Amino acid sequence: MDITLNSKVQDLNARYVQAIDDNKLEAWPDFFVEQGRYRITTAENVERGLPLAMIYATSRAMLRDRVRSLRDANVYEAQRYRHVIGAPLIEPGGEGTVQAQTSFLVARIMHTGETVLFATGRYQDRIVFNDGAAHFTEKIVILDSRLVDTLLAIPL
Amino acid sequence: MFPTFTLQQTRNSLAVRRLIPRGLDRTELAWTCFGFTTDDEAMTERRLLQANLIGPAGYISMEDGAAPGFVQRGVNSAPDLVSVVEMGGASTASEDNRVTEAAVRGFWKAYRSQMGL
Repeated sequence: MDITLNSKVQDLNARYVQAIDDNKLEAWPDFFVEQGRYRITTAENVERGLPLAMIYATSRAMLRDRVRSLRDANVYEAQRYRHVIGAPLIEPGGEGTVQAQTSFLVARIMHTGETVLFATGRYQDRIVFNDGAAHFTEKIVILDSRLVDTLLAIPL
Repeated sequence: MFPTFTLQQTRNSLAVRRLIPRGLDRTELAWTCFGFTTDDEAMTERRLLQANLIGPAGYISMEDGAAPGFVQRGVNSAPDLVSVVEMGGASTASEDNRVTEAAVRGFWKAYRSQMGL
């Protein structure tokens, strides 16, 4: 195992979930390359080869749109996330990229303090390194369950 | 179309929404979106992008999951009371605007008749 590569991948995802959990959504798109892809789907859809996603973005611009919508348009009860992520399993991804699979658990904490295990699943990431900086060319969030409680506002 | 089944059209994309009651205070909503075997890749891509509008994270639908929850919470505190809001009156006649629940009332009127209620 390439320890350095492993550390860089872990660092990327650690910073990624920290930005979301710290409510720094404006930083979320910058973890992707300009034409980066982001999808949230279910294990069931993946197993059945069905392409439908809950969120499907094909660029940083679309991610910025979503942040803008969350901040200015959508109405939902105040809530925060807490991600806990596992160690990544890394493989070469072709064309200078690296593929990584990382498990995650996400707790959702409502403004009332009520805390629930909101989502579990795995990230399937494609990561590129430029000048030592790591970015996602693609992040697929694969939820273990098809059930989402109430709504999915903040990205995973 | 039937209490727990809705056929939805967004532009030229069809989807089915099914309500699945799981108890007095728990309901699931299942979305099934359709593509067609005649769709080329570009059309499929359009449908997948359009799906950002719907579902639990949908731009136009995410609040739909939360709003009934608020109502449920409010209703729980007043179980012996009744509240009715008439949107567009009480008739089921066709109207020339969309600011009315005539279609919904029409559905329930037909449903009662079919069910002999």
